[in-house]
Amino acid sequence: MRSPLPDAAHVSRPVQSPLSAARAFGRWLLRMRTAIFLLLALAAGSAVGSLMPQRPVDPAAVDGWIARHRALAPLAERFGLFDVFGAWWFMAIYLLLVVSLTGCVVPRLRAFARAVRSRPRARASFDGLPLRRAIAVPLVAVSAGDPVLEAAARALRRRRFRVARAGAQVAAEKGYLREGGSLLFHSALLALLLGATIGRGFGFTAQVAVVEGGGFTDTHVAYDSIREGRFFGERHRGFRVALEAFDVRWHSDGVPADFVSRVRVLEGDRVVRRAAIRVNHPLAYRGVRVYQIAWGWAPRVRVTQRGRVLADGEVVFLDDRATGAFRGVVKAPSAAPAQLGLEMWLYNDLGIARGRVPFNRSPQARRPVLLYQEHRGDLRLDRPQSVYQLDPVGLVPGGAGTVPLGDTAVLGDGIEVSFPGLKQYSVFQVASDPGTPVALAAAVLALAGLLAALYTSRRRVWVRAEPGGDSIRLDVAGLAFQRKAAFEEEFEGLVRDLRERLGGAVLARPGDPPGAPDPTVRPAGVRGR
Amino acid sequence: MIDPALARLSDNLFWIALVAYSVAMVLLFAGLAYRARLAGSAGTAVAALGAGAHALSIAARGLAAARAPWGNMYEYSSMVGFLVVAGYLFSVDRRLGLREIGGFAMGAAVLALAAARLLYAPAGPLVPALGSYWLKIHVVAAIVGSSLFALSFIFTALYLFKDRAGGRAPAALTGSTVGAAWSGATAGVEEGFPRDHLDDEEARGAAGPAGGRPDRFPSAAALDSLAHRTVAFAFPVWTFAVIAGAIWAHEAWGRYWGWDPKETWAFITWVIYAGYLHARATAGWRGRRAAVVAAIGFASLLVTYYAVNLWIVGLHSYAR
Ligand code: HEM
Repeated sequence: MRSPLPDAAHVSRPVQSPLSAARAFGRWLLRMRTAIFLLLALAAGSAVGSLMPQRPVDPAAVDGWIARHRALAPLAERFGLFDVFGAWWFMAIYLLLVVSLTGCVVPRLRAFARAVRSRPRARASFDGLPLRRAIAVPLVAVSAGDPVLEAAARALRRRRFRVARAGAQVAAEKGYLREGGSLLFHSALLALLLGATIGRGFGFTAQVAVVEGGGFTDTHVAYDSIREGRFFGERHRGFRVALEAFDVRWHSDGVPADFVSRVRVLEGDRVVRRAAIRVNHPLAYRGVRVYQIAWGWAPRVRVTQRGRVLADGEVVFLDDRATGAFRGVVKAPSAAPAQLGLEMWLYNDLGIARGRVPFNRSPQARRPVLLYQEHRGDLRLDRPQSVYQLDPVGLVPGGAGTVPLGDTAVLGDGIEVSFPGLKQYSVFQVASDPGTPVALAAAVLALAGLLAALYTSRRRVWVRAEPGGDSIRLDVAGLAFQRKAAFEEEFEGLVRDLRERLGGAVLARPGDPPGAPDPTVRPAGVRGR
Repeated sequence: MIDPALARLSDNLFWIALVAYSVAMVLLFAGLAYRARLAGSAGTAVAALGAGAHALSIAARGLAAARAPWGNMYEYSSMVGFLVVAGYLFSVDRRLGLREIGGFAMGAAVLALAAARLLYAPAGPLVPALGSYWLKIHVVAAIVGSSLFALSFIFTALYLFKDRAGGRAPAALTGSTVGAAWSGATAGVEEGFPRDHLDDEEARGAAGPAGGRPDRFPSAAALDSLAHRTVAFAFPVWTFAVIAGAIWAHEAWGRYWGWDPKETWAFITWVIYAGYLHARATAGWRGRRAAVVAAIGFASLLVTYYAVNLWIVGLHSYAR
């Protein structure tokens, strides 16, 4: 890699053995190429992750894809294409990038620290520098060379250059912010990755559906689904969140305006907090944040058989994309003579379209009706199964019907299904991410570093005094590493300034035709940028 | 809640802007092809009128729905079209004096507005997830960044075209020889000094061959440099947009980064443009190879916005 602040070896001695230069160049190129390649590989990998269905996001979509691409599925599985962001090769790219980034930031940091501490260096020769000017200062104006150089140094300091004197030369440099900003940016990227890693390792993310009047306790078992970091160590806080009410406000055209979960936070029996959790306004408590992410209907379903209660309670119904209704399942294993499973759809505002297709007329609970489909046989509850699904293997479909809110339907064998109440449930995302402050700080620093790196430039100026016959010849040379056109103007301004202060005349440059106009005097009408 | 009269007014002004941009595009191209000053000036004036109508359309839309007018794809595309025109008028035309690019800028704006029209949604309230001030910040940054990337893509595309056309370009497109001289000296090193990006090369190409008519179309080198400077401006804005989006996601969804398709593609776009800046700053890639990277970056930006919203389901597509 090119040394970030090229020192004298780079600038003042371009005569280097071509072989070693080529080797250095090759090494540098290799690293740079690697970094860019890794970056683009990361981009390509994440593109795959966004195009393939991802198991952590939508397991059903993955099953669908596998069913549709039987031949390709094993290969996709093998390369972790269903969980790209957790796949070994994605991790490998990520780790290589971290190593590469560290590998290039650390030496640059060291070189930068050295450069900041060192003084600008004098140059043996001004040959080859892009900007050159010479000023003849009449000896009558000054007694010797030194005050002239002093004046030049002062002018440069006024322009906030760092200035060093070396014999009959002044060397000045400005714009360390550029390399500093670039380093800040790249280091902050590392810090950002660190923050993300801390969050994954020491935090947890969980989801839980809570029916109005219910609640959940921050423990491992209380959540419907949970992902805990490897180093989280089950350090749940154990407080309880009780959902008192859940409200949805609607705009007139059926677009939701706001979802609000009114909750109490309890430590033991003591209420420590009351809060309204709404979208974009999570509850933060003891390093855990509780977010409002979804909601749905939870009808109370009561199943009895000749006065004996088989099932009773609020059942969480999930949003059913296929029908536009909410779908749930009630299992009654103690029904006789066979076990009973009810598959149900809730229409909160039932309308019947032509062709007898049921639909929801509005999102409000204006006319709630349950549709049910009986299944009799063996529920196979001895196997692990979802509370939202029936296992169809041992079941035979039976009759179907409807139950409006407050009503009861009579099935065979003296079984009655009633729908005495309708509540809503709220789905909370519960998360603890101790890496967030690190990541946020890193992101802010990265942005600051980026701005400094992109919008500042590094430049050097040298001034040399040579006594002549009746004047002192002041040679001024400049070099900008970036923003060369802007520096040209700055440089001309500096030369003009020196000439005016010292009362000298700017000499025509070597190569200029005799009698060329003073190049520091701009003709009127030329617009600078 | 929704003011239908204002909403209608907004739609009508939108059509006026679309027609004005189309007319301006024709006039500006005519001005370029026939070196007709008058056509160019008329085109610029019509474009400015269109931009005025467009600004009013956007404002009326916001007032009609009583919210910031950047809540869906129609509004986003419309804003991008507006900013491309505004950016062209204020920066490219007035500051740099590059009227020759105008037809292309208007063409881009017409495309953005056509896309907006295809994605039209009536003025309406936002779903709750969008009701956050981080949304406003994030989306504004994304729109500004996208518009700048779009402008830079115009320069990149023209550069690639011109660079390939070389000496055989149609009269109106032949530039100065600066481009050629330049590509010879683009080894990444100039007199032993590292070349760097953001060097303000003359934005306009020098006059044509001595004795010939002065050629006003910018040289390939100038286009390349403009493209680069515009990306260097857009990149921090985009970085900020991604950060603001992450903060918003943290507020709304309980995680600041989840590899949601929209996040993923915003990241891919960011990485490709970072690759472009790297290529120019450190690897010494200039010209065609870097321009191709920039063009890929822009394609990725289009995927980030259009393809992800239309075809890839994620948290950002508020379909229901
Ligand atoms: C992995 C090894 C990396 C190396 C060796 C590296 C090296 C460099 C160097 C030397 C510069 C400075 C250019 C200059 O100051 O003129 C630079 C700039 C930059 N880097 Fe990296 N970088 C690496 C990774 C990354 C990553 C992961 C990103 C983010 C996607 C990134 C984004 C940038 C950007 C945006 C700039 C432009 C800022 C500027 O021009 O100073 N780099 N990089």
